[in-house]
Amino acid sequence: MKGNFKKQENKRSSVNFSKGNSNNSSGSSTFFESAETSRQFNDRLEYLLANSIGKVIVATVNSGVQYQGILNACNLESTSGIDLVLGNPVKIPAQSGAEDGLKAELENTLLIRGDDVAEIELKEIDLSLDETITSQNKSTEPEAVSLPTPAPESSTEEKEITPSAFKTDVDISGASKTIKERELQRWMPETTSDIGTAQNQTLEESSSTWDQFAVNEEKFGVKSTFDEHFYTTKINREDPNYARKVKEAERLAKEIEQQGSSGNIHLAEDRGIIIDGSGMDEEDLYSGVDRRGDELLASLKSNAKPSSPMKANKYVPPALRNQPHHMDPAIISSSAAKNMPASTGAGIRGSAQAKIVNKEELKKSEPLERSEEVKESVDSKQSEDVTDDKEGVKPELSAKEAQIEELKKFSQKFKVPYDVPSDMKNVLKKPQQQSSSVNQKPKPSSKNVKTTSSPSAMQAKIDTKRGSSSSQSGHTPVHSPQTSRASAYSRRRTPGSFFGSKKPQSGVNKKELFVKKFNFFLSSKEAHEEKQMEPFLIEKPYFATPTWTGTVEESYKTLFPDARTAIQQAQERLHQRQMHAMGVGNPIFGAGAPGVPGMNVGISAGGMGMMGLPMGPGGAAAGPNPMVNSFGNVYMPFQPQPMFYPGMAPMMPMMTDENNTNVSPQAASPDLPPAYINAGAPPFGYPGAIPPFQGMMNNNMPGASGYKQSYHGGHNSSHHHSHRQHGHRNNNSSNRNQ
Amino acid sequence: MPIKSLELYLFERGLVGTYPIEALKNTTLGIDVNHYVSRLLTSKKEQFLDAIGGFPTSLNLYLESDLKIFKEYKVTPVFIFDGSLTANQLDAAGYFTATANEVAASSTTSDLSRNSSASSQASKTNKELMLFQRHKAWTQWSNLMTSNQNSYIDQPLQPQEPFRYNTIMESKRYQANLIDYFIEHDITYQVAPFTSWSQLSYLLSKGYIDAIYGPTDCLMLKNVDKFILGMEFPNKDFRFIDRSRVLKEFHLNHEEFIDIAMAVGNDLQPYTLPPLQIYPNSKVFEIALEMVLNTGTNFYAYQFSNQLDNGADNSSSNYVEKYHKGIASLRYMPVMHDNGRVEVYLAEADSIEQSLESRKSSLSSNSVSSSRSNSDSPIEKKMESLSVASESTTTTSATIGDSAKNMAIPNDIHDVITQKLPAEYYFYRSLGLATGNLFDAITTGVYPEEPPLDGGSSNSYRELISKSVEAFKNKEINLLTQPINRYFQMKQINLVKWFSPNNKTGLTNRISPSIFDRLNHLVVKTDLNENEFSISEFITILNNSKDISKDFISEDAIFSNSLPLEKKLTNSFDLLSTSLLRSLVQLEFFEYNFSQRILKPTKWGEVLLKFNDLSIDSKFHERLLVLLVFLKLDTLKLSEEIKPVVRSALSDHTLRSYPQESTYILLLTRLLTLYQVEQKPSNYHGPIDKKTLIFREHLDYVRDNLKNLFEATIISSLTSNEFDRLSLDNNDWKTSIVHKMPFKLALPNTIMAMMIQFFLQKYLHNGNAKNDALTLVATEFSTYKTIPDLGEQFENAVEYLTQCVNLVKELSSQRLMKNDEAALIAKAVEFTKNAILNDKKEI
Repeated sequence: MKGNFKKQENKRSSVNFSKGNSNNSSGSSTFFESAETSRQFNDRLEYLLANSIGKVIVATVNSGVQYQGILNACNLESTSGIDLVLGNPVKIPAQSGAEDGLKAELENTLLIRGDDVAEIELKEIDLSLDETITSQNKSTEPEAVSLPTPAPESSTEEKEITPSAFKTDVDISGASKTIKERELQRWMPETTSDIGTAQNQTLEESSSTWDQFAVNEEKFGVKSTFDEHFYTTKINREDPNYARKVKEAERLAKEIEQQGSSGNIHLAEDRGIIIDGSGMDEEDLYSGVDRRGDELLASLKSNAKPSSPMKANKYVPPALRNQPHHMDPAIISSSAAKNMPASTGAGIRGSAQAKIVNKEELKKSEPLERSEEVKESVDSKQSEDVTDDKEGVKPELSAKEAQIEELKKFSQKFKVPYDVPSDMKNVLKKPQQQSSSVNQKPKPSSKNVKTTSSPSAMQAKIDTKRGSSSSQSGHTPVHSPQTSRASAYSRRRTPGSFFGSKKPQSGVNKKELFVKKFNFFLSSKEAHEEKQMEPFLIEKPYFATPTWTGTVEESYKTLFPDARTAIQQAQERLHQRQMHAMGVGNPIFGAGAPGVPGMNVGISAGGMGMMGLPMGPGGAAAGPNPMVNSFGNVYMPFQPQPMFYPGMAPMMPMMTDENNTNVSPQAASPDLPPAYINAGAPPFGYPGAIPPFQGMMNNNMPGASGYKQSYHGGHNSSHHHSHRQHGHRNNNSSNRNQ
Repeated sequence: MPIKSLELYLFERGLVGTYPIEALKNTTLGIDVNHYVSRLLTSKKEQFLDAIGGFPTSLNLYLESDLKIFKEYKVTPVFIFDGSLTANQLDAAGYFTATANEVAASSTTSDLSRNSSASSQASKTNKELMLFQRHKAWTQWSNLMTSNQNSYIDQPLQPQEPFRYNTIMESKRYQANLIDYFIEHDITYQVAPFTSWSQLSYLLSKGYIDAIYGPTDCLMLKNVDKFILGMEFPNKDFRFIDRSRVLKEFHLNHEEFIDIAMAVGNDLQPYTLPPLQIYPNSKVFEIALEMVLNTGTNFYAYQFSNQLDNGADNSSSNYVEKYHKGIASLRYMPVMHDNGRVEVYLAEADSIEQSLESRKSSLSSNSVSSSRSNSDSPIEKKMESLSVASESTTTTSATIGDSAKNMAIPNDIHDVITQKLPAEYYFYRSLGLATGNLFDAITTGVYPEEPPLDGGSSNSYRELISKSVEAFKNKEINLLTQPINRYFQMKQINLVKWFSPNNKTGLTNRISPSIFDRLNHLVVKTDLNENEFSISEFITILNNSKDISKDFISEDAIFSNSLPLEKKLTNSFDLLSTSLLRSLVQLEFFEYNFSQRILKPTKWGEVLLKFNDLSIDSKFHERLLVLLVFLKLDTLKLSEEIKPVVRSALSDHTLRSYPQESTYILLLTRLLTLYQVEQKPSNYHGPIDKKTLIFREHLDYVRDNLKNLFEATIISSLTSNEFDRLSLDNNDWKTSIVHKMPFKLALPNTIMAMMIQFFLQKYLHNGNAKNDALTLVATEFSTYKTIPDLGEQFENAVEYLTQCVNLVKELSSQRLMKNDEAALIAKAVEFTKNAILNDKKEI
């Protein structure tokens, strides 16, 4: 049983890699995330295989026959998997007896094509190689360092074959002696303190006034020719109009400031307005797309009060007025580009684009008029609505029709990304009528209509849109829009944000539903009436079975994995967690999510805490970890079981393996490569796993990775290096994010 | 019960967001009543409720103010009650043993309470803690009484120890009263067939509500992105939880979260599983989370490893089973669909199983799979809609193929949830027409008798239980199982008592001819639509009849389908009256023989029919009927001492110096347990009286059984098509039937009985100085807050007592009560009358 698990582990690692190699986009595998990720896995595989050359491996072919032999060579480039060359192949007697005939057939080498290989079990990967290379003072014999102290259980299934039986290239070449590295020297700050105090201070804490020009001149003799008036206008205070100008400037400044931050929290903050940011997360504050403009739609949608006094004050960007009110800024901007050409020149083209093909006859007359009009509106800087204008101007009616046509076309393509609220469907049934009636409404023909069109005009416009578009987005903030900053804030906490896109509609009496629905009798009658004309009889309770309608003849228990599978899954998950810790593309949280780096650190820091050791600075970055702090000591003594999963027991030899190698600084790195190689290494809480942490203690700071990086930069063990590379990236990113 | 310790932890981690209530404007809010009530009645409130019984009046207060705010914001609240419990929940509630184990545990561990403290709490169930606290409080109370034996004369003592523990409120106990309140205030409510928050999730996904106000368990629901955890009405804020944010912050996927939830204990799996049992209750989620993050612990796998280590130990496989059941009940929770049928709802076809499956298949390839199932995929949507079409699901989903695998419903969910009842029964329960404990008895095969508030050590109470089998329970079971599947008619149902759980009493569900067959010719048919049902109205109708056997025995069996609708019961008054008459026949208040066309009142029935003549106020009819049934069961005479003897709330001095008056007081308190003092809602703090409470529990037990009998009778009538069930919509059902049903509401609390008792004691000791006595009551009971005019209340109580005397006299004249007992009662009332009314004069 225990041996089985060990085997399982090995199998898993190997097969997994070959799959990843040949089938990157396999749906069942999680290694579909990115080319980057799979490349990293391939690198690891390569590394493992390279380390296994000359070692005994077991290859299982598709027929299920297993061959044990020395891995002479392998071809990773093969498209069909990994081609293998085995030396001194021996067929592993799976079922005793039958293999005798085969044995005779086996020659000195056995070549297995990649597509025949089902599984490779790497028996004695010697990962201590790196240590032997890098630790110059250590014995040149790799065995001395890397020989695993054979744990008692380890021999259950495998034959002991000492690694020294086969010399690897490195052993033969004795490379370990020849590799030289620069001796690393610790950086010491210069003791000279001539520029001392001022330099050690940050800008904020500096007590002395710092004049960079003066220092520059004193130290280097550079004379600055800097004059701030090169960059700005000098204020002529002698000007007789100075007082008037100052006044004017102040007035302008005030005017600008009084415009308010219009709900832009960031802007408001920049202007020094104190914001009550509670209840808003960072996204709301600085990053999220401002969904204002929704209110316009909302107030219109609820169209109970067509002339809400608040609405008139509401500034609507010109681009928005003309738009079907989709909430996606991308759509808005793109359609704005179509309909609101910014310059006259573009106007011709723009309107031409906007034309519908079957409106050919308009093409000639339209562009000119239209461009003039656009010019005018641009000149006046009035956010005058083009459509509104047209509504008023008779000859341009057809142009408006064209626009409607265009919108209709758009509406056919446009699908609301959210559920259409049920009551909206009712609204949508009527609009044709509405819009037509509104369209005939006389409009003020003046072109000087003020910035905000009259409410009724707005109403009309939206109705038109309703008539043409088959669906509406679901935002309906209930508040009347207001212009003050305070209301901007409250607006941001409107239902739109709590309910997201599924903002419930007002005015629906759901209470009624509870009166009519959920009634067994009424609804069965209803269902009955739809079907046939026979007299309706209420279903006799007698016919109801005491069991629930099932769809499969299975017990609910079959949904759950059995003990063995469950434990294996748990191990897998641990494995997975560690992968996450390594920053491998995280399928759950999404790579690059802000939480990820924090988590990486959090795990190592958390691990520390569990050991009852003080947390490294990483812990703070990982967010408060109160349990670790307060229960760190409690946790271990209470450890109810010596180990979490009995199935882990066979992992023991591997662990000890690692424990030995952990003497080197590499294995102690917080990005946990040994754990990874172990696949399902025992949990950290597991006492056997304590030694790795002893190494980790030293490096518990994120900064340690910097050191490591340079360290690795020095030598080049290609596979290994690429493996590490990934760890660095991770650490770097976590540093950045801190 | 929410996910243990999670709520606190969410607050600690700052994962609870806040919005102004304004954000809910114009929405429909689904409220989990259990959660809501637990929020309102925190441990600091109504601490002595369990020592006085009755409905927590402060609940009304909170409800009222909350509903006002909802109204202000045009929020439509929809209150959803919990229904039946699932197998796990029943287990944790001690259902199968009628809490015998918990009771035993609570009495043995009482001394260890100080030491056991935090760590062992995690393994205790809610019920255990509740009983434990109650036991502890009573113990302390009796100690207090003993130690003050000598100093206590007429100044009543107040208990120090609360009778409630900081546990989840059992809203079930108050369900009927709450429903009554909701009907009165036209508030939408619904009783879910099972877990309330599962029902809420259904309502949400079908758009019947816009948001959920529910417990942390909602985090286990994949289709609920955000839900409201709490309302802060004073700040006009509400607290909500965003599921994806929580998972992100915890670095968990949904599956892992559920794993933790199942391990720490939640509503569907209330036990804390190893290895978490040793940790303090308040930290258990946090610790579980750390274990997962740091060591990748999978608690499911852990249960197995535990199992292996313990070898033959049974408990661990129980844990696995509990875990299985927890997950399965989450997945396959039946809810009431909008067509009124209760079916498994698979919107929750979440990734658990899917990824389990994918892991299973990909295990050999060692995929580090955590493929998140996309529950929004069109196929699943489709499947979901198919599953709604209940019956057709079987064939349709089978044909859909692989994707159907995840939507498959296993065929043994009844092991996880409970057995299924006809949709009609669930419908009655959803209205509150049926309380549901009989349904549970039918589905589980166990009718538990849990200890009453006082602990139930009195012999008479236990005798009452054994008498109730014959008087009520066999009939109820027969009435309810007769119309449904044969399986239930054969099913063994046992009465299990908390004090001797192994000594089960089998209930007879087969009576031949069935109760319904015996009774179905009894019909009260007035066809007067305007009549509002009440017992007094019912008595009037009977009294007005010249020949009740002729008027109320119908020749036709009105359930027959061939009968036109107008021959059936057409209005709620007739339905309720018919059911009441049938119930009274079962209670032997009437003698009835169909073959001889005999229907005539027995002596008890005659007393009942005289209620109106005895000038008994109609508002007391129901309660005095309860008293009649109690007296008829004859387990405890009104003047009889409770055995084993319980210390009276009167002081030893009083008992010694005024033995006669003490007897009076005993009788008065017993009668007054049926009188509810009119008070403003408040948290009661004041003296308590165990002896009076014990008597109250006797009566409440009878009332509860009467209620069950009435419900069973009315349901048997409804299911057999004696009433035009299509004529009513849900509101009509609620207002005209549920609201009018007798015996629904809990009996009054003991406050009035205690007030009179302590008033009279003071009165005796103070040389009949009434004002002092009144002042004492006013201060001890803090009536200045809650009772505007104490004197008036006392007068009303005396009025009630006078009516009782009329009744008692009638009883004795019918030889249903001994003459001397009746005379004693009359004297006692006279004594009170003098004390109170004279007192009034002196003022």
